[in-house]
Amino acid sequence: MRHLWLTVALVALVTFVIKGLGPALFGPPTSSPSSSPESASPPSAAGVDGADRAGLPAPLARVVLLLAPPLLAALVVTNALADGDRLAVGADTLGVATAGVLVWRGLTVLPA
Amino acid sequence: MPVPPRLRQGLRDGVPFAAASFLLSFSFGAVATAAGVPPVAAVVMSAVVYAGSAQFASIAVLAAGGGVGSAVLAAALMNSRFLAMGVALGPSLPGGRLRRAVQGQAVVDSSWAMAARGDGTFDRTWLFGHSLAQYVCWVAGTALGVVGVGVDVQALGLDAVFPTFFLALLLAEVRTRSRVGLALAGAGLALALVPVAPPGVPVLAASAVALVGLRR
Repeated sequence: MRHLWLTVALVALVTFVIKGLGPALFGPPTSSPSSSPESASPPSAAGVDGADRAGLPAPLARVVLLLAPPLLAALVVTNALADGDRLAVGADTLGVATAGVLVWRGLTVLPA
Repeated sequence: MPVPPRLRQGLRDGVPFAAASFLLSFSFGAVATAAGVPPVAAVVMSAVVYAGSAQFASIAVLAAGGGVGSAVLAAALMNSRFLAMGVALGPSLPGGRLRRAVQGQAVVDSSWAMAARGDGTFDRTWLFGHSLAQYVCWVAGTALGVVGVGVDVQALGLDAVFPTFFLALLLAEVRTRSRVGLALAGAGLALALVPVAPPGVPVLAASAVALVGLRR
C-alpha cells in the first residue's frame, strides 16, 4: 500500500487540528488576559447576559446547548442505516431499534 | 499520586464504552491488515489518530486504490463533527490556546455527550477519564486485531453496539418536546444526505439543526 505512513501522519495531523480548533478558538470567559486576546467583548460584559456564561458569544452559546440531540440522532441513524452512500436495513438496524424500545421503556441495555 | 475522584469516576463510567471500543478497534486491526496495512502501522494509527470512523474511512480509500489526498479528505469529513463539539467544549477548558487544543483531543462522541452538564459546560476531568478508558482499549484492541484471530464483527452484530449507546445517550437527552423535534430533524437531515453527500458530512450537517438557537 503506497504512501501509507504519509497518510497515517496526515490523518493524525488533520484529526488533531479538527479536534483542537474549537477549544483553541473559544476559551473560558475568565482565562488570563495574556492567553485570551480573542475575547471580542470586554470581560465585564460576560456575566451580564445570562446566556454568555459558557464564554461563547450569546447566540453561539444557545446553539451549543441544542447540539447534542441532532448530533446524536444523526450518529444513531447513520450508524444503523447507512452503508456507504446507501441506506439499508440490516440486523444492526433491528438491534438498535430493539435497544431503543428497551431504553425508552426504562429498561437498561448498558452493563452497569 | 492520588487519582482525582472525577477522573476515576470517568474511567469507571467509560468501561462499557471502552469494551465496545475494544471490539471495534479489534475489527479495525483485522480489516486494515487484510487490506494490506502492515500490523505496526495499524497500531500506530490507532495510537496517534484515535478516531475510529476516520481510520476506517481513510484505509478504505487507500485499499480501493485512492490517493493520499482522498484518504485524508475522507478522514477529515468523518471527523468534521468534532469541530462543533470542540466549539462547545472550549470554554470548559483552562489554559492557553495550545493547551486547550491538546485537551480537546480527548473528545470522542460518547465522552463529549456524557460529560455535558446540560448548561453548556462540561466536566472535563470526567471526560478525560472516560476517554482514557476508551483510548487504552482502542489501541489494545487494534494490537490484538492485527494478529487476528478472524472475528467478523459485522456478522456477530457487534457493529450495532455503538449506535445503541448513542441511542441511549440520545434518549437521556431528549426530555422536552422541542429537543425531540431537534433530534428528529437532525436524523431526517442526515438520512436525506446519506445518498448524496460524502460519508461524514450528513452528521456534521445534522448539527446545523442546532442553529435554530440563533433565533431568540
